Amino acid sequence: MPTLKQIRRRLTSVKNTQKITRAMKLVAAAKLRRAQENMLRAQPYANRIREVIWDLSEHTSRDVHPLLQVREEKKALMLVVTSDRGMCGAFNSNINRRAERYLRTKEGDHEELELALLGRKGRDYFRRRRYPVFKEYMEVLSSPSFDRVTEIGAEVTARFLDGGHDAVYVVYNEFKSAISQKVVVERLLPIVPEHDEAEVAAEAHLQGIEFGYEPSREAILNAVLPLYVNVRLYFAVLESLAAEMGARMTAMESATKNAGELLSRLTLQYNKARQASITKEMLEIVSGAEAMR
Amino acid sequence: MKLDVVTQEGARVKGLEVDEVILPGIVGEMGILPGHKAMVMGLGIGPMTLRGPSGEDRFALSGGFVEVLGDEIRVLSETCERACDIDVERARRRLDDATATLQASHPGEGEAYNVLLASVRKAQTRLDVAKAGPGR
Repeated sequence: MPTLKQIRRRLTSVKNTQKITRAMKLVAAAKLRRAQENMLRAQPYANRIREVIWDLSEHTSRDVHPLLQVREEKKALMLVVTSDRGMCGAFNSNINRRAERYLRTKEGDHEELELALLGRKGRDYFRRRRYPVFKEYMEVLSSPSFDRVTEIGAEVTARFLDGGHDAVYVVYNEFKSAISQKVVVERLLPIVPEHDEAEVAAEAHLQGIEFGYEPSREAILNAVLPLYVNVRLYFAVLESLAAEMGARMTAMESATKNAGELLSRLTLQYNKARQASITKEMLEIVSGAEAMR
Repeated sequence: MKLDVVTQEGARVKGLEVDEVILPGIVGEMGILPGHKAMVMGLGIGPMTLRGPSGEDRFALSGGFVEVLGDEIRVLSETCERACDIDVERARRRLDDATATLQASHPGEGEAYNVLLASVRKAQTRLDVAKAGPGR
């Protein structure tokens, strides 16, 4: 049975921890909102690029740009997007485990698969397990900027173009909602234009309109494809960030709740101990008085 | 005509009424007046000039494309900065830095050299646009 003083010390410490987790939850909530706003702002840009690429590539051959060419995937690169900080539940371990499974089971059927790690948590995980790492990028999620992502995109694209990698994949947490994330593996390069039904319908009114292309379809495609790589990577980063904040919010929420439960248990224990010590003292006094008679 | 400009940081211009837009195409400047035929044009690095009921305005663009359809002009560019938002002094310093870096490298460096060249052109455009101001 712990002494009163010990319980009191525990109580204060748990209370302080609860204050911290509650503050972290609030911070994560605020950052989540910002991350969502960023996603919303970048959305029209990404959509427009996708529309135009789809439209242009439909009428041109795939040989027109090396970024569209599908090669036999011997050497591939996998970008793993993790956070720099912990305290966000299973966010990082989910993604690391998924990436490792991909590596071990040779899911993609590549002869060689290299890793590029965005974020400290992924780096720590794969370094410990001694996997070959192509490149590490730190502090991307903590301050996501388009310029930084563009640099990474340019580097990855350059490697793809000079034949260093035949394909590039991104593993990241898709932001479903504030309380749920989903780990996804997406192919970044080569670009395979995709179009969903809603967009096809939205463009129906463009049928029959004769567009002029200045200077040519190919030239526009060449200029826009690299932007597409960057914007997709940027989106993966923004989604990861939102997902990270969502995961942290949930984790800190339950930590705060657990601390609350612990506090009520400790308080009960404390009161019992206090009562016990009072009873003990009373007994001593009474029995002392009894003995004196 | 209605003009929209989007960048990765969101919409820069939304539904602005204009009479004429001059855009930096890949192969040269192109002016768009009402009644232009439907077109998609690749954009380079350069200034965009707008003339409309509220006078003239200038922006620095880099890359992307423009789609003209009916009386709608939709521009997508990596960056779009309005003349009055660019600080001339800082633009000048950026240009000096970029030029110095470019001079320290060689054309033989391939892609890296092109990147530097583009950054000088961007800096030059920003400075030109900032100096020219919004015009009338």
